[in-house]
Amino acid sequence: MVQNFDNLRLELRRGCLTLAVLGQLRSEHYGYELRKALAERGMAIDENTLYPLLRRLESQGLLASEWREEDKRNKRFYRLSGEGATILTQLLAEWHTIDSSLERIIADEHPSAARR
Amino acid sequence: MELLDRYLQSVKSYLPGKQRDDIVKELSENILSEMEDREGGLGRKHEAEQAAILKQHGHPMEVAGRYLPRQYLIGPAVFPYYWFTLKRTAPLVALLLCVIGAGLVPYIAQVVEIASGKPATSMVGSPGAALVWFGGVMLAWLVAVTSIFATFESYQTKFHKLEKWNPQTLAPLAKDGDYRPRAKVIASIVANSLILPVWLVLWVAGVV
Repeated sequence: MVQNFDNLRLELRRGCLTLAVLGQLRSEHYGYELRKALAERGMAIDENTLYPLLRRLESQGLLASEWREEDKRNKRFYRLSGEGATILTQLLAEWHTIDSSLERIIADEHPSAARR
Repeated sequence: MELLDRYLQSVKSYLPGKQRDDIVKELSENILSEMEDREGGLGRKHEAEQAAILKQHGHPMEVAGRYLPRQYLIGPAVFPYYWFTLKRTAPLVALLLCVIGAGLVPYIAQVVEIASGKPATSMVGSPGAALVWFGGVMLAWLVAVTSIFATFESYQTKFHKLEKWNPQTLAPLAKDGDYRPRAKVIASIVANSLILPVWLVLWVAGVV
């Protein structure tokens, strides 16, 4: 039973990952920093998921990155691209739509009982 | 940090050629940042502590695997057809091989001798050889079917045909409840009827 919930919970969170990453990258972050920022806000992402995701999003044109030196080390900083910002807005709208749909579904107190 | 370098070396070896260095550079930086962050500060850590962080990060093969393009050999959409084909045809191939091995070989051997002018190797030599031959043909069949379906997977155009279906052309109700979908029946017949000529040709050519 516990495993059922864990799997479903993971699946639910997995769907929100990209949105969370795009949202956080409205300002610039490098890999590890991003992971910490997300974790602090309740979206802990496994590093093996996050880092490849960043590359994938960049190759899709949603992120832009550049190598810069900070504290005498070279770090790769990511941020939203123009297209990424647009997509983020659209995804957020979609998110709100889903949210209100769910509320309507749950607000229906006795969905099928009424039909008997 | 030798341990980290060894870890990165291992990850690198599993990565695809093009972006290796870039990925490893980035990974190195992120892990170093994490190591610094833990227990608040720079400075040499015990190898055991480094090892713990690396272990949590994951096995190099697994880590590298996430950077590869996600690809199925035979994906979820195609797999049911693949599996069905295998299940249906494998026993029939096996049966056919037994028949060939037991009965037809001497006759075919004669034909081959006459046709090609060279002595046909005797398949009914030893049981061991027969078994190897049998296993080899089954294996080759498995490879052939898998390759065909893997190709379907890569070029999934075939399955767009499914989108044009019309409910009104569905099969009428079967009379005694024993309904076999026509597509499956046809697939069986086609698959089975291809077996004998294909393998006969391969056998004669000395491949099998």
